[in-house]
Amino acid sequence: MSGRLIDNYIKALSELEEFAFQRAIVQRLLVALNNFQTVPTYPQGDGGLDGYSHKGTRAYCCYGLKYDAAKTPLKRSKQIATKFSGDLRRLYELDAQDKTKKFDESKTKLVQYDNDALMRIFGAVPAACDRICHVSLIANWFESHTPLGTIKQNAAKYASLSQCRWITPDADVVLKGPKEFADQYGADESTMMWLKHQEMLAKLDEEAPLVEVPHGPTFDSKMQAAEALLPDSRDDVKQVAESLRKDWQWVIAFERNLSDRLPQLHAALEHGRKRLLKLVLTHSASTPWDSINRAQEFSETVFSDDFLEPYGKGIVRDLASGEVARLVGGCPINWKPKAANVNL
Amino acid sequence: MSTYSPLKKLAALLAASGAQPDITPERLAPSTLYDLEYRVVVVAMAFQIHAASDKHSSQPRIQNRRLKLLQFIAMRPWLVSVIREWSLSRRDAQRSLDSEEGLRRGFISDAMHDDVIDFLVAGGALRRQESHVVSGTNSSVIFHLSSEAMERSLFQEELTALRELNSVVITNEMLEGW
Repeated sequence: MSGRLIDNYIKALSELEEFAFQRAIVQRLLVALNNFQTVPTYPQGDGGLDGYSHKGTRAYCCYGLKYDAAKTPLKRSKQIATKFSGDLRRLYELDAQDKTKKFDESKTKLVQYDNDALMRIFGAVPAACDRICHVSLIANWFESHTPLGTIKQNAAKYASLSQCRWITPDADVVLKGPKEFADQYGADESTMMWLKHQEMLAKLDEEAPLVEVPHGPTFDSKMQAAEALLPDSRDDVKQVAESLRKDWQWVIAFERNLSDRLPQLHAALEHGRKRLLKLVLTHSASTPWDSINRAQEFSETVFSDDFLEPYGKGIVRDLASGEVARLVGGCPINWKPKAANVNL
Repeated sequence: MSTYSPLKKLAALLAASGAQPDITPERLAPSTLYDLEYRVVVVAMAFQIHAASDKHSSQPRIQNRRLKLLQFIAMRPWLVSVIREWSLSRRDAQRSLDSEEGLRRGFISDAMHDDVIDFLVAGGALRRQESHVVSGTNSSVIFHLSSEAMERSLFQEELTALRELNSVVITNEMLEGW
């Protein structure tokens, strides 16, 4: 693996915070371990686990601290120790006896409770030999050894107080930062591409709903015409209209992003749009409807040329959908009632 | 490859109803970013507002790179806040490089601007002078276009952005590529 790739990966990981960091870690573990199981937080919490592997004997907890909220190494160390100690308490099924008081590690009395989320995640309490025996605590910052001692001491204390239904009393607890994580699980081009585009995708998802589609009654009048032509499928048409509008908004936001940052790719998008329309027009389909039916397929083919390599299949698919929606919204594709037969 | 498409669903319904499709290729509006006349007017306005004579030249002149950045932002007025932030943060190494990286990459790779300048130089409206562009023998075209646009209140967003950029410090370092 190239040093540059791994260095870029470590840097990118360390810049992610909160849920974005967790997603990046989980994404990499999914690729690196074929027995890795993610644990979604919804609907009722993750029980202290972000994922597990090796038949439930290895647990993974992530923490992407917010750098703005903890600016000094001391504060960061403290936050990391607090967060992961909380995760360990849940694995050991311990909670404060008096929950009304602020939690204080040295003073708060801990009592056993049943972690129902773990029961839902594993289905049944495992046999002693199948319990969690290794916990990886993965943080986006690990530049101080301070959290190590706190976490080790807390883990030992929790083990001594717990019935240890899910985790063995002598489980290994290992803290990893981006570098340690990358050293163990590596990185590849697809992980880097995924990471690189997460920020852009998040930005697009945020911006797209606010994008105003170009003025003019065209899009709405076409959908109204479709509703009039299909009185029995009005709800379907409304759904399609909503979907097309969203795709169109997304592609406008994407186009703006390209125009601001990558004018050459913006030019490729402009050329691709023309090619797509030409393909829809000139394809030797049996009927014009067949051609329109295949617009999405044509669109994915056309935009793959320039966008597959830098952005991957997911974005090509969204881009293709958006450009197809634009063909309707921007005028080229329309429909009209069947002409009545005229007898001369 | 996925073939899911809302249009496909609609097309199937419409085809079954007997509706006729209508494809009108000439209605595909190209982006104004590739419209030479639009680009010429934006360059003309940027030149008129930001070019100035100095001790090296009695005629108004402006660094080519500066003009490239100004016209790039004028066509994307939402970037004024980005360059303002970049300008303010240029002495602060701790601030994120993200905004400047995107903007710098964007304006530097705006190849069409170079073609527009070549076009204006060929027509005598502008003249190249080392790293600057200076008004040419036929510079009245530039000033006429710019004045007309301003008098007729055309391209107001671009004009406002160009005027706002007067208050942003753009250093030579910001104009350099990597």
